[in-house]
Amino acid sequence: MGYQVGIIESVSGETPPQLVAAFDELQSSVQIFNVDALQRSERAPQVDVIAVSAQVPPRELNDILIRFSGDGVVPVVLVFTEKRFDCLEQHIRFGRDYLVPPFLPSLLGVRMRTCYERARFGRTVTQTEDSARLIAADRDMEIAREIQVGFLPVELPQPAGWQLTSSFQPARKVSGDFYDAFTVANGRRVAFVVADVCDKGIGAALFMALIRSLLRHTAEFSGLQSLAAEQIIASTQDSGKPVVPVVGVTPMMNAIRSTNEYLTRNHAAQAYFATLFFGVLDPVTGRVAYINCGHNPPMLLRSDGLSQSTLEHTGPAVGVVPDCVFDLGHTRLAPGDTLLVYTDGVTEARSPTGEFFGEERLLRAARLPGISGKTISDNVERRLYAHIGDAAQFDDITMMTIHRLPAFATAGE
Amino acid sequence: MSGTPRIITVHSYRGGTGKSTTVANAALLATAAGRRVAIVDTDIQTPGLHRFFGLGRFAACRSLADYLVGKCEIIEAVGSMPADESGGSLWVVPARSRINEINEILTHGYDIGLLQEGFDQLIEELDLDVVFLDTHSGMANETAVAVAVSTLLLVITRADHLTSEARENFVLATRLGDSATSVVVNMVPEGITADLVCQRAEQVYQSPVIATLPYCPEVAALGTDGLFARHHPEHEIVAAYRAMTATILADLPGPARPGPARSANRSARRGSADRGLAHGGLRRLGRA
Repeated sequence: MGYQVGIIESVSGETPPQLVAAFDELQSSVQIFNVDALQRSERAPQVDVIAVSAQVPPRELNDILIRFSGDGVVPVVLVFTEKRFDCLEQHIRFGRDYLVPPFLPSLLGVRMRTCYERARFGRTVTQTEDSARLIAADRDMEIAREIQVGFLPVELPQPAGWQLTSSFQPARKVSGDFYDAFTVANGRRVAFVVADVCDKGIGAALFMALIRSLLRHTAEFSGLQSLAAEQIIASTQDSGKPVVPVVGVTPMMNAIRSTNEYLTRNHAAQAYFATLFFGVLDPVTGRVAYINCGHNPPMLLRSDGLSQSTLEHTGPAVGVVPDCVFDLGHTRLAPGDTLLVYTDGVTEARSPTGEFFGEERLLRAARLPGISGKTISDNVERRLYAHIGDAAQFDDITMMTIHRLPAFATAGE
Repeated sequence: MSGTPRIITVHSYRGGTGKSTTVANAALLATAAGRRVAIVDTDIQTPGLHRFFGLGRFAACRSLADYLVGKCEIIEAVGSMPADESGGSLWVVPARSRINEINEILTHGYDIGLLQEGFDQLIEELDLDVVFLDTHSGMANETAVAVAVSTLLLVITRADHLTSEARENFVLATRLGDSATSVVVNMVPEGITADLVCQRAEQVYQSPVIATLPYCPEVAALGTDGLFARHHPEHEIVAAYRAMTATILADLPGPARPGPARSANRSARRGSADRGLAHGGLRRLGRA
């Protein structure tokens, strides 16, 4: 049979010779341990079966058994006694199996086989339960993924003369990145958002759902209440001239501020936050008002394919500092220009040798003159995934392009 | 258009100052002087200006409130007044056409940026010389924006309203804009010396008084049923309205003569690329 047997004695020499002889007869190798010595050691050699004296108290036995549990597998345990049946009883109450005289090899062999099989069966059940749990968790993640897809827009608004595209590739089943685009101000403006919630996986995904919903709901439904006088007076103090917020700015500012307040007041303990870029496009003029909350500065690629600029931060990440100030940025897209908004999963994507994709490569891939936003997006994607090759994707990858069609294309519509 | 259009925001701290009556007559007289004029009632809470122009009977007409909540374009809310021989034109934008619109405005709010954008579109589309913005008494969002975009803040007060509260409200209003400010003292009772009222008003408002208008029972009798200047063009108070209007428009370049040059100018302006109003003034997004 060839079991590795460990015998634990409470007192040296107490093991009945017949028991040792029976193990020998069954071609098992036997090592004898003293309980006190075992308690002083950190680990014990790996064995298949432990025969322990009934005089070892059950609680001590539990501590000792941990030392034998190599690879997380606890050996089969049999409690033996020759005469102290009073000690045996308490072990039986703990659910241990037992060996009592006569210690005949045939009886011992059957007993060990039965116990060993039972233990193996127990382990199989545990493993099956574990894998069932894994399957259930996997199914839950799949459900989470499907639900999360519902938090992304089914389609992007495509105002006349413009092309909006998106690209989204989570590192895991669920993502902390998201993008969104929808109309505001009675359909007169297009709001667009690209955001990166810190961390990855399910925690980030939960906060993605929360932040996306807060931003969009506020911008669409409850972000119009404003104190015009307060805003105008504040602008007068800042710039010396009264500035009436342009269309779309009020819902955007209210969405960012209220989401920041909600997160910092209700979820400070979880310490989740998001960097995000929120823009409001006037499709008629090409003007964009934006708030960049600590996000990678988007690239504004001019139609000539040569010049570009970046839209820098105008405020901190959302969910970090309560009552903080978010400033506005303004820019304008001329015909043929493209705004590329992305998350750091793009620039920090690594090649198999660990090299970052980086802003330079991104710029080279994106700087294509006089073509569509989709072409730019496709080209960036192609070069990005060629760079990653068979390396693991570490972070979520999200991109959005806002492209103003060249004048001739608009005229032809 | 002759030079930069003048946006005159008419404001009072309290109601009952004759603000709407004064501004409605001023708009008519500016038109009679050959100007292209629009008058917009921004008093969504307690509108009344439309009645002076006989718009109250047209319940189906669109309004500023309709535009703000997305039911129409601003240009669809414009009511055009009959042209007269002066060559001037007058357009009126009522504040709201139905009482339940106030619920929608108060419950959902609106994007305040739409106010300025709407005023800009009116100026562009109608090629205006002058825009009068009538406001709600005291302070409201619409009033704040109207003051901020104005080139002239015209405060209308009564002789018995020259209080410290009026002064505080005025200071707040001036913090909203950097425009010039003028004061009109209205409904001055008989027996009160105009100079004395002027002095007191200039003390309170620290701004020039451009007119003191006597209390006129005939104006009160007509109420909101019409424009007094149209019904009684020779009346003494109309002469005072006319003088006041002339002062308001004093440094505007003279009105352009109607004719081919004016039409060419308007066409060129409409063709300017950036406003994108080529689709009948509609700015809501179409899909590609």
